[in-house]
Amino acid sequence: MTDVITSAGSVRVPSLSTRTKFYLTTGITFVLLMSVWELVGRLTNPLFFAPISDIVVELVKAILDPRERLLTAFLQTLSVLVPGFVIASVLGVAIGILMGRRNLAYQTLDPYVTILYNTPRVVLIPIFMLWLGTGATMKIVVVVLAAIFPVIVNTMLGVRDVSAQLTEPARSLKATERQLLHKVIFPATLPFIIAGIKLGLGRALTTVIVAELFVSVSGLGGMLHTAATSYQTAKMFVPAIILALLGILIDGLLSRLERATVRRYGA
Amino acid sequence: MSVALALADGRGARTAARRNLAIRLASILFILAIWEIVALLVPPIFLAPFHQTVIAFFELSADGALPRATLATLAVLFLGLSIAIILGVAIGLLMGRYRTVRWVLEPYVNGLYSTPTVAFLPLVTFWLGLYLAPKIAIVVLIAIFPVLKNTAAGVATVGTDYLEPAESMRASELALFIKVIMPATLPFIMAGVRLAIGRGIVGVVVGEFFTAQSGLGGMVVFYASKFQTAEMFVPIIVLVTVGVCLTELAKRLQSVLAPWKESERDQGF
Repeated sequence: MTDVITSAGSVRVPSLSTRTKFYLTTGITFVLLMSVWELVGRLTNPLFFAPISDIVVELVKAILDPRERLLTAFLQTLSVLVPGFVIASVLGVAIGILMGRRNLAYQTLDPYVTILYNTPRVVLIPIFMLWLGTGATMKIVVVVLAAIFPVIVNTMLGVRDVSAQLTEPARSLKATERQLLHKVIFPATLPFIIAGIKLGLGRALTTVIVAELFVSVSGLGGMLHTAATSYQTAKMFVPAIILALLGILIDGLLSRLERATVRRYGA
Repeated sequence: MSVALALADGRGARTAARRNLAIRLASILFILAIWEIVALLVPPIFLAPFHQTVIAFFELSADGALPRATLATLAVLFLGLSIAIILGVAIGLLMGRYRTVRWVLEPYVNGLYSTPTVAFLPLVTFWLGLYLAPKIAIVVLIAIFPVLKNTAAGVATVGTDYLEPAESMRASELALFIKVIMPATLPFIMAGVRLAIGRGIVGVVVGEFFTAQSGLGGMVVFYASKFQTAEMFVPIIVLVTVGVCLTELAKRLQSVLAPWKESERDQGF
């Protein structure tokens, strides 16, 4: 397994396998980085930075102690993210398919989709705070608006990309529009849709946090705000780390799904 | 015969284009009409009619507030994007070319790319204060990763058919970078830059919201907190225009600099 076959075809056994070298390099880097972090954290004013050991202590404390309200904050963030995201995906796919199939829908909606796709979505937060208050409804609406446009655009491009080679045989077999959508267009568009959803989710996550920083009372963004305004630097890292892990987890899952759909239906 | 057909086709395409334009105009007029009507029905603290937003635009332009805010925002955006692009390309090239650099950096780059970097906003303000520096830093943090990842991915596609001839002619490593790897990677870099622009604008606005309020983002919050909705929409419209124009510019630049290849990788945020 570890043997490397060179281009000449001869087999050479390296002293260290590539895999071992990889683990050594990343391991040493990690240990070095953590040591530097710890050292810098111990030497600087605790207001500006926190040693990694303090952060780990805070993280464990936040996870174990219900009074720290980490779970509550996490669930609050999810309770905005999940519904907003589901609405954005379902509506986005529907609108995208419509725009991809019907010229009237495309011409009517394209100006707005183009504009809103390029709008820095965080700018919508103050508007919707004005209209809907600071509660969950406002945040869900803002999340929908942040996440929906990549889904729409990708779905639309995917639908248009479905070649006549795929649709015409189905047509000649007298497939109805509904059957065509279900059996041909939707599966062929799925890889595009997943890519759009992945993009949208990233935008949604950023937007939730900015909205929570704004409102500053709920969710992981609120926790971040509270720790920051009370200058508890080590504590500030706790929601940041949870958010990073959430981002990495979601991204990993969707990447896997993306690869699976590409394998199944082709890109 | 074929000429006649082509003419007929051209005419058909022209009527279709005209019809499409008509649909678009009707759609825009429809929304503006709805805006005016709804604004008549709700109190002005919720929504000012569109024509008042237009008036506010000219008022704010005339007294210099809008141009000043736009310049402030653009300055942060360009400084931040320049740093993000230069650093992103440099690190991306190294990561794509050298295995060790890739191994050392990749876990952190991937992690930070998936992380909503706005979560580090309070930390950035602790370190850099409230004025120009933290805003630029936020833009760099948000915008660098698409450039970096695209560049690294691009370098990985530069095949040995390109590299081996240059190497066999004893091109130095530097020459290899400048003459072979960079040009071959350019389409990927440009795709990254395009993504970075959109994210960069989000970064500026977030910076202007949460550090010392300034620029167009600060203007939005200022007028929102005073419930002056006509004025509030003005900086928003300018921001949207900047976003659309810059993205379009990057698209053009991409097709001029790298017309032979259209590829991009994106994970969003």
